[in-house]
Amino acid sequence: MLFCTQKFLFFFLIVFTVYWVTPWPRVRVWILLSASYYFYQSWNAELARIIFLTTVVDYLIARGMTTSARPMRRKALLLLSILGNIAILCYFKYANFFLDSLRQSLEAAGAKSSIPVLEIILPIGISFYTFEAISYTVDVFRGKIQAERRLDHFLLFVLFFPHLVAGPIVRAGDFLPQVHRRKVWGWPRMVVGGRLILLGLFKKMVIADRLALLVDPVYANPAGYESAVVWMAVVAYALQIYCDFSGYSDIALGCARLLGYRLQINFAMPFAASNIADFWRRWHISLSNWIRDYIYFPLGGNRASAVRGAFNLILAMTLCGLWHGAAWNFVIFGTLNGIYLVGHRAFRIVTKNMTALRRMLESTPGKLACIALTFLVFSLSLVVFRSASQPDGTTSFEQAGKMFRQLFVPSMGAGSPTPPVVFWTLLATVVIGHLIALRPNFLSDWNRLPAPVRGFALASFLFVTLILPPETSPQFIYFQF
Amino acid sequence: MALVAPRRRPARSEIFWTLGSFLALTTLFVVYVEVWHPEWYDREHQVRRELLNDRTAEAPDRPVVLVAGSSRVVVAFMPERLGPIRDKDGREALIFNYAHLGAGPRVNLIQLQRALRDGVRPMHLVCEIVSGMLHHDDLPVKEISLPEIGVLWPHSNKVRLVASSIGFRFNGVYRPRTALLRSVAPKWVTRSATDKDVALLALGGDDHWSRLDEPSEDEKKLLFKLAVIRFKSRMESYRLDPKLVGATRELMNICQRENIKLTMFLSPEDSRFRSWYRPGAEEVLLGFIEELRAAGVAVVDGRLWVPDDKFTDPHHVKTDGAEQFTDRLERELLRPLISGQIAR
Repeated sequence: MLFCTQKFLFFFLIVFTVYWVTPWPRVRVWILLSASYYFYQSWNAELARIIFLTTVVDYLIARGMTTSARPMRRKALLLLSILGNIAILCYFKYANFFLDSLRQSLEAAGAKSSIPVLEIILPIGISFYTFEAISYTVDVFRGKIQAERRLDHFLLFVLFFPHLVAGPIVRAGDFLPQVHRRKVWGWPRMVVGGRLILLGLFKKMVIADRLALLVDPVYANPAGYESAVVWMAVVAYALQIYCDFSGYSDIALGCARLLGYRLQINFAMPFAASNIADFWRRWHISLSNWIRDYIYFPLGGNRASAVRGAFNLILAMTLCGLWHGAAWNFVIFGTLNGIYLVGHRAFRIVTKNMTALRRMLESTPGKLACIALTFLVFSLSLVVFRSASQPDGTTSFEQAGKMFRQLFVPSMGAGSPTPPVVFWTLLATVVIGHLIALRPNFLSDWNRLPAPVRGFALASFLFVTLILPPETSPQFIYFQF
Repeated sequence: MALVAPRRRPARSEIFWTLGSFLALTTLFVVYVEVWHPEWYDREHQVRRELLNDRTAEAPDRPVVLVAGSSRVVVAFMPERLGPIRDKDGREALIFNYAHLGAGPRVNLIQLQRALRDGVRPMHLVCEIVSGMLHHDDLPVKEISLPEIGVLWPHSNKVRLVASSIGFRFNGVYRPRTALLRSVAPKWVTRSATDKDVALLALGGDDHWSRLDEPSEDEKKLLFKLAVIRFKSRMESYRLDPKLVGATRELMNICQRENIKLTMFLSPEDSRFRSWYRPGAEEVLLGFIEELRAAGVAVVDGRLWVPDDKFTDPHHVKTDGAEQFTDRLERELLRPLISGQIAR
């Protein structure tokens, strides 16, 4: 059940109505829980039972940690929870990746292998709720939060349908207090929720889905297109993945807000970042923060030597890449971004006392150049991320190689698979969207406009959102992770 | 833009103004489509209509013969294959495939009304009878404009008709969006929409659009399954729906009134399809055909005209089946009909 389908609209309208007409808070939790379970089992009922069971186990482990005074037992329980969650994640998501890599290594060494390929269905959103469960038990162990007493509240924390399949990755410390809090109908909340949903639908249905029509054919056969078109596809993919995922996140935040819950913002105008560190503070924020808090800091962060700090950063980002999927191109995407971050840190140290250079970089043209450079290097790393193996046996690396060759060796080929005017219009829309959202008083100014003007503008925006989507709408990119 | 909310009263006003404005915009848009561009609801008819208008404009004096029917006729009748056929006065007839996907008695009726409204007055209407569609025929609300609902009114369950029409127009912006873009911003029409667009030859024959010649095994299974879902149970509990019979009678009446010579035919079905007829179903169907003949309508039974190996699924033919069907239709129906040799 995709967010941008009529089926979800009816589902949500029913849940929303039943939820708000029910006066009993406990029953409301059950309504959301039942809706969330139904939402997930609409993809696969068996996997819904698995996620339900693993969540109950995490609940019991955390309760066990709270009731136990013995540190060793608490540690053992924590280990059990982490290893259990990671084992499930590895089985469903990474088993074939590891087996395949092992098989290739053995074959490269001249040995014969009969390692099987497992027939596994990847539970949708497994990476998201596994990380939520791990962060919960770790936070309970660290004493940052109390273990939740009520199973229904804990189940809702993990299964809450707006964030279940593609995040944001919610922290128990943020979410569980909200489950306890009594929800009161409020018009301002409805406005915020509605605006977020509208914005998310526009990003997904109009921008991301339309850009996919340019990106997909070019990435499938880069050698067939001229260099300028391949460059367009590289930029288009950066915009597509941003609008697809941030669109999903906006709809998730909007739905949650309409039900009285606040989820963490997942994107904060990432393409306005003037360096790669700033970029990762704005891109998929809930994952970046998770990696920082539960991998990078425990590894020692940057408190140790510079070399160790760089190693920690690259390792954390490599795992961040691996989180996206069981394939080497994701690993390399993560490592590459880790190297970018280390490079940026080194640059800052080296240029610390170069006042003239700093002043130049802080000027408007300097900032614009930095923003463009950040966008460029991130977009190029996405070439590795996006390149997939082809039915003809071409590996994802060979495919990425073809992309880079077309990018940097001027070549002839077919023109753009979609009219260039569509690409330029969508690019301009994203840029203008960033510029508008970055204006400091934009929201206050907007809220001061007369209600009929705001209402008509939003209705027109919805109208355009319904007219411009392409005939075919691919599912959200981040569902596969 | 999204995360700072206005205060309570302005927030409530914003929601009501948004909903109200959207309702107003949608209503305006629906009215615009209904009044000025009803063809946006039915792309297939739009393409056929433009082709037919072009052909009739090229030679206004040619007698027009429209061959109407369902997807079976869309794929099976190839008018471009026909040699010149002349009427008694020696004029060469313009024979046009005027079929429509999913057409049963009600869509056939609407198609005739559309032709008349466009100023096309055929000399002959050769119309298919799909036996299963006299038992049940899906309400064609997605393809018709509001005034055309009036055509369906006497021949439909009125509650269902009203509910489906309103439900469809509730989503009145999203559905005709491609037609709108085609008209105002053609560069924004996607390639998939263009690739799947209705592709017809000059006389309305299928130009590799809906006919499938070499389906994969999966496609074959799917097509068979669809045919089973749509027709098997209808044929196993076969009876005539009075409303659909009524639509056919109205078609006859209009033809009589407008002096259009109506001829009907049963289109090819393979042996699997024919095995679905319940015992006694054939008699029910033949009884209806006798009734038509008694009313002066010639009816030809073409169900056995194409052998099983020339079918894609139980009731749609491949290209070689279409050629065979077209040749036989020409020989046994069109040529004698147009030249005035079929006794009515």
